[in-house]
Amino acid sequence: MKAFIAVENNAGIDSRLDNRFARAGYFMVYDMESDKILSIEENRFKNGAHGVGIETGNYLIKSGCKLAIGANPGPKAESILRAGNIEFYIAENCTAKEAIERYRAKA
Amino acid sequence: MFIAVASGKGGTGKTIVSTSLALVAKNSTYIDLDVEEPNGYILLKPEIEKEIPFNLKIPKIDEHVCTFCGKCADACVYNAISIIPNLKKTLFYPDLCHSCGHCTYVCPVNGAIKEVDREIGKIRMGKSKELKFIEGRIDVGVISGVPIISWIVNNYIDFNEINIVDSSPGTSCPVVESVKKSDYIILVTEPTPFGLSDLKLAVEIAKNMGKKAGIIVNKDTGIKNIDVYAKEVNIPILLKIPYSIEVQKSYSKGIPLVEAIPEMKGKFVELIDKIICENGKN
Repeated sequence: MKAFIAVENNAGIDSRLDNRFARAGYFMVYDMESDKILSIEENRFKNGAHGVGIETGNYLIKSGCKLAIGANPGPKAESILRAGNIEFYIAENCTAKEAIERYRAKA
Repeated sequence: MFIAVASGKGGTGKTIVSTSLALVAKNSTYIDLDVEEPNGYILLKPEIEKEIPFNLKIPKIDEHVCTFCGKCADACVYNAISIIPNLKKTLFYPDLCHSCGHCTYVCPVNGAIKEVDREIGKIRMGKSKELKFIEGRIDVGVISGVPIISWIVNNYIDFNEINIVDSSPGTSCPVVESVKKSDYIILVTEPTPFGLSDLKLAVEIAKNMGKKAGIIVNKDTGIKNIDVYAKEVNIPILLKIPYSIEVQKSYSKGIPLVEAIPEMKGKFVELIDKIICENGKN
């Protein structure tokens, strides 16, 4: 399973989670099986005026991830996550690595 | 002739000024384009003769026909559409839609997207004695009033007559749309730091649009901050309305200023004559 992680900076697995979901600094796609980062890309939607939750949601759907990890999403991003049956794990004040560990501990 | 009354800061007295101007001008039309909360009718008490729903076109996706290719969502620059191909789901966010029709245009499947009406507000028309009355009003929750403003300006204004437009406060798109076709802009302000600060923004709009403008100082207390600025930018101060309990009382009772205070009526008659004489085609 691939996880979509909304992070603040680009520091590999030690990137910190952003305190915003759709407007996070970077999006990391992480393969939970092989424990590898597949990509980290700058969030080109983050400074948009309207509908950023939808842009990020659409981007997430296209990425094929089935799990999203990050700060609490806004209503529009959440509506897409729900419609797309994307599992959501809310995590804050930690690195991507810690968030993945917490998710696994919980599951 | 099209006179727009704008302000920058809210609550400075656009409606007091615009209703007064409309009442003293002969054969005029009062047009309330403060579509988020039109209130000119409270003072003018028009008899409404017609109420027309105002619709915008929005896409309706038929999920039985749609192939979920996502071209519409990619094409939408306002991010109003989301397509989830693997689950065959479509999401549409009407508040983000600008009715541009791009989704319908790029859709490769015949009949997958139909354009349907979405009512976003109403246009009311009527008469208050001799005065013609037009009002735009958007429904609660509708994000942008620009389409209805634009429609009224382009379709309901007879430029051969005198039109007094009451615009919304601020300096954003609805105001720009309201004053776009005007011959003259009256900027209503108050002699406070906020009044001056927002007046400066409104003056910039008028200058950028190449419009002639004049200032009315409402709630005049004798403070000269507006006078100093007006002189600096070379914009005339047309009138000062005193900060008085009589003005407030008449407003709170819903009586137009020119009917409550005869002295003000004379001043508004002079003002409208001057503006028409200097700027008008009539």
